[in-house]
Amino acid sequence: MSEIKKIRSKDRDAVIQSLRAGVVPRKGLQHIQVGRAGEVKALLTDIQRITESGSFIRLIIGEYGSGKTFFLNLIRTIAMEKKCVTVHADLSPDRRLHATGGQARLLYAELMRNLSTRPRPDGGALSAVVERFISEMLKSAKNRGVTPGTVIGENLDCLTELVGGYDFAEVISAYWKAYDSGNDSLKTNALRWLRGEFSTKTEARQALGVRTIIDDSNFYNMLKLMAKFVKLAGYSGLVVCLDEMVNLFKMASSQARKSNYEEILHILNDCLQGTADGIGFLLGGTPDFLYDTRKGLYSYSALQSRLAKNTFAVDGLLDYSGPVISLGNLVPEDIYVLLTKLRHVFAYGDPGNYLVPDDALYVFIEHCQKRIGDAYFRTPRNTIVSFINLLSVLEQNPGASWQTLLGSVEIEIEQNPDVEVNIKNAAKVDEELSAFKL
Amino acid sequence: MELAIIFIIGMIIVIISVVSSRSSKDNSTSAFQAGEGEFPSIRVTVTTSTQGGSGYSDNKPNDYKWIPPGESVTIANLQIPGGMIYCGKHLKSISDHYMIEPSFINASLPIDLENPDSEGNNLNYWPSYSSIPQSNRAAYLLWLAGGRVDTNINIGYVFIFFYGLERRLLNDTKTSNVSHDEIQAIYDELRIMRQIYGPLSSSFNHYVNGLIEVVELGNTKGKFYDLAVPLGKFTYELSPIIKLALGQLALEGKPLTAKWIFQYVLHHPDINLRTPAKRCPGEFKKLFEIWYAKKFKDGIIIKPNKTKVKLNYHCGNAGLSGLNYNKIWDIPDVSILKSLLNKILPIVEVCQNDLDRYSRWLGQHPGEEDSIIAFSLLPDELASVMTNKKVETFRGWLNNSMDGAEDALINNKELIDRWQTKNDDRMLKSETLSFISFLEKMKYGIEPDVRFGGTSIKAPGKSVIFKLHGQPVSDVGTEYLGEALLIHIAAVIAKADGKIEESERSLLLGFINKSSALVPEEKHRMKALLTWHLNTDISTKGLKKQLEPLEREQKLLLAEYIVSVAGADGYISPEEVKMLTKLYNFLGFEAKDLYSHIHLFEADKTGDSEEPVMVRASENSRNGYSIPAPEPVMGKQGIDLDMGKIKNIQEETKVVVDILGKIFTEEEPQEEIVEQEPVADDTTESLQGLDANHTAVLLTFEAQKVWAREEFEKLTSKYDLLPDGALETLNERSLEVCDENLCEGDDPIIINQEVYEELMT
Repeated sequence: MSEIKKIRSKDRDAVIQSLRAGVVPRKGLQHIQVGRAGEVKALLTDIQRITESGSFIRLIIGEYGSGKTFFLNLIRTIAMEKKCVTVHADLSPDRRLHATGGQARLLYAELMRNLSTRPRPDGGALSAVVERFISEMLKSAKNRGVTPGTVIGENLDCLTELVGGYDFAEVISAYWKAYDSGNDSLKTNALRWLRGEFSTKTEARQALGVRTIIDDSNFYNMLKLMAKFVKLAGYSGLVVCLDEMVNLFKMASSQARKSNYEEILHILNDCLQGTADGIGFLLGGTPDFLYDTRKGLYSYSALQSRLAKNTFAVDGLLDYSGPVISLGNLVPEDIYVLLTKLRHVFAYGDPGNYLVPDDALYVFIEHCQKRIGDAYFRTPRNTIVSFINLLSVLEQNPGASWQTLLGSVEIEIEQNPDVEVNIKNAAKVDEELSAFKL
Repeated sequence: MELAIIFIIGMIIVIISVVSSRSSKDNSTSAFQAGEGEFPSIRVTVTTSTQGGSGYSDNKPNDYKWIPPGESVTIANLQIPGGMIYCGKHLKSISDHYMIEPSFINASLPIDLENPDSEGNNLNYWPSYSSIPQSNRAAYLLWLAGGRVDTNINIGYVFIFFYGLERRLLNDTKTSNVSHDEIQAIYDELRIMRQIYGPLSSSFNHYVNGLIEVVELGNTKGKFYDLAVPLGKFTYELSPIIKLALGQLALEGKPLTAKWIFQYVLHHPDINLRTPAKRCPGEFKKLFEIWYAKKFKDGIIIKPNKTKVKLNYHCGNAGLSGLNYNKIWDIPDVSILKSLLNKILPIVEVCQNDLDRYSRWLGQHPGEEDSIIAFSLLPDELASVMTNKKVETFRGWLNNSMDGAEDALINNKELIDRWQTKNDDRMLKSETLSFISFLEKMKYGIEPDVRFGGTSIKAPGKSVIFKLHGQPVSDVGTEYLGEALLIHIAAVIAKADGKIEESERSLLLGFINKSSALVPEEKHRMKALLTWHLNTDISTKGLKKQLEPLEREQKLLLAEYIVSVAGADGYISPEEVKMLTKLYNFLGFEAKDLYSHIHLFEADKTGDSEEPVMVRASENSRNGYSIPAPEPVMGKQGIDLDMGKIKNIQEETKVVVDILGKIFTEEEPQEEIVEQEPVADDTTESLQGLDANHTAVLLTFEAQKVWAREEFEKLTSKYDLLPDGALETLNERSLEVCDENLCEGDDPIIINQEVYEELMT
């Protein structure tokens, strides 16, 4: 047996609390990750690449419940550990990559609100990043005996080559000025501008004296600027996580869909050709988002060839360098291993403290299976919650026997939100049909 | 009248003296076993009759003479060549003394040469010269005078003549000395008559054959089986010679040769030969011999039975009834054996059936025996031993086109041009079928084959011609059709992206090779079909209908299979997805199911599966479509966890934990050797790699653990730092060192005492 590695109580508590609440933990993920070594390795290489001023794009494809979000969080956490800045957002009808009605700007704004660094993994780290940059500039200015404005200008000069770079630099300078002059409203405006919260140019001009704003038309360029900026601020790079890409697939207008896919193509080309610098994209979506030839990415012919897998990666050879990473569905065995890991975390990593024996895991799985059928492993959220609850009760009541408690464990079937909608619709149709008379 | 009688008597005396002198020389060489008797004494009585003959005789003595072969005689001014007739005044029949010998020519009877009645419609069944009207007699004599060759004559006249020969052979040889030469001459005459008149009357043919046999068999000294086979095509009567030949072979323990068995077939009363055998006797004979040799090598060896061969000859001459020829040989009559018949009948049936199409075609196209189509319709056994110029030309062209390859793609137009077709641009189904059977005779197959789900050959279009290595497949199992369907679908998928990758081709070939449901010949055929599918415009036409009857479970497996085919080249292209969508629709699945399957396929490949391309092995079943059975569904009854799988997952998990561990676990804080920039500030200390300003802020925390935002901002600005930036830098450092944030919260900002202490140590 390998030596017992204790799990820190903070990690343990974070994991247990998150899982209990049915959300993916932000800390201690490594303790409950099951399998997927190849994928993790591949993404690790990707992140390494952006710290070396490279770029990457990955489509993380998985069915509902296959652990996409968990996986994205895991990668995001790794990125932060590697001193990357991460931004993440779910796409929705109001948040898209390309739009004319402000939806792309809203997506940008959401990303910036969720901008995280390792010290601030829960988002809201934009000001910290900006201030960290300015602090460095101040220090440098002091050392060189020049004005901070000059140093900032020099450092941001490289941004001005990029589209919107000039105004971006202006806004950062404005932030410094605001700090310098104690003008809080200017500071707020600068942050608002950076977060894409100005909806009109006039407003921005009045507030900051810049002629452009972050809007639908420059969504991706602004991300690139941000990626450069975080590097200047001393971070390794920017990782952009976009989840629920299926919302693009669901868009009714084919023209709008196409525009969004064009944006993806644009990003993809940049990333694969190395034009982008220090930026990585993780796009999470369901199989239909990718494969549907009418509405999915496959409907956009220019994307097809670029999504191709390595032709030589057959017959046992694996290649994770293609942009698509397919996450397989969970199988009962995965759940079993996951339960052993949860038990391990619960016992602070000490097998001597295990609250239940191996047998209990079997019985528990069996119990779940009886209750909700195969859903227990396909969409394991509730299975995990129940197991954690069971362990908690056992922990707090040392006298209780797991056999007795198990019988009272309730598990709810989790519905795929997409399916649910369909069922509702179907029910509606049924009603209509039953009301129909000859 | 008197003069004539005197002349006749004189002749008789001359003949008798000649014959007796010759018989005394040759009596030991006569073939007739009963033929050594003395000629009866002949008394010539001359009677006169002015009436027409009645056929009835009063019991007066005979007065006649036998005109020997080769001699002429003149009757009623008609010179009759060749002899072999009885004539004179009176000749009683042998069996009935009140009856005149039917063949006897009573020269005194009137004849009406003015009105000869060669048609002889009024002749009765047993005609007799004496009893027929004078116009008939005239016709008879004219026929005789004409050399007995005129075929426009009632067969009754021929019979009259024949009766005489019968009497001479069966009666006179017993009672008088008939020379061997004469018997030979009569025998020759019989054979000539059989040739001329046999075909005109089966009755006559029967009698003449019988009599010939009597002569032949009576004279045979050597082996019966060495004799020539009897002439005559089909009868329902086995002539004794056949029986004797077969019997003698059996007796000597020799195999029954095809030569005699075929005669047995032709004449056995219980073997009913149908049109194919009759229309194409030559082909039938050859085919029969081939089959007979195939089944019995040199021939059937049969144990002699007890029944002996008998020869019964019932005379046609009414005046000879009772004088029938009966002979029993000491040779077994194996022809009566049911066991022999049972061995032969199946072969006869096979031969006739195999010739059926050929015969029918010849029936419709008389005189085209040497056409390429006729050849194509021949049974394989015959085709391989027969040659045909047109066929050889075709073979040469085909060999050229194949160029030594296993299969070759050939334009249908070229095939149609080389075949006899009704239309220029297509073969009808029947034409296609005959073309296919022709190819098979040349040891080639074609795909698509109209018999196995293909269509008729049409131009424009292409077909794959392939070499046959064994017996052509005449029928295929449902497994073949099932797998052909799979190959079709798979080819559709493989081609969906507009190109065929080698990996896709080899996956499909591997699929065919591995199939346990197919016999080798079917595999060859399937490969040709694959070649065709991959090289021609492929359609999904008709697939839906073929797919519909499958069980849902089979459909599911099929669905998974086609996804794996599409992904065999490592990539499922959008065109392939489109095609898959269509096929999924055929299978009754939704596009969403397809995306799931593609995804699972991809996940299997990139995920933890050891076999990225998973095509489950087909089950070894000969019933229904051979589609692999599903793996047992996990956890349907009770929990059945796969411990091996768990172990794999645990191992992989260990790997990932190691990777993650390196990232997440608290590393010992590496004391970074930071090049200290000259600091103009009063603070000179530097902690944990922080610069002077941040170190200064950090040191301030010693005294105060809770900071209001405003306070903190003042603090940072004192050191030329921005508050959020300072927090970020400090926390990042503390995370690196202690894996925890030093400062928590935005307002107030709380310093984590533990972390602080750790940082300060």
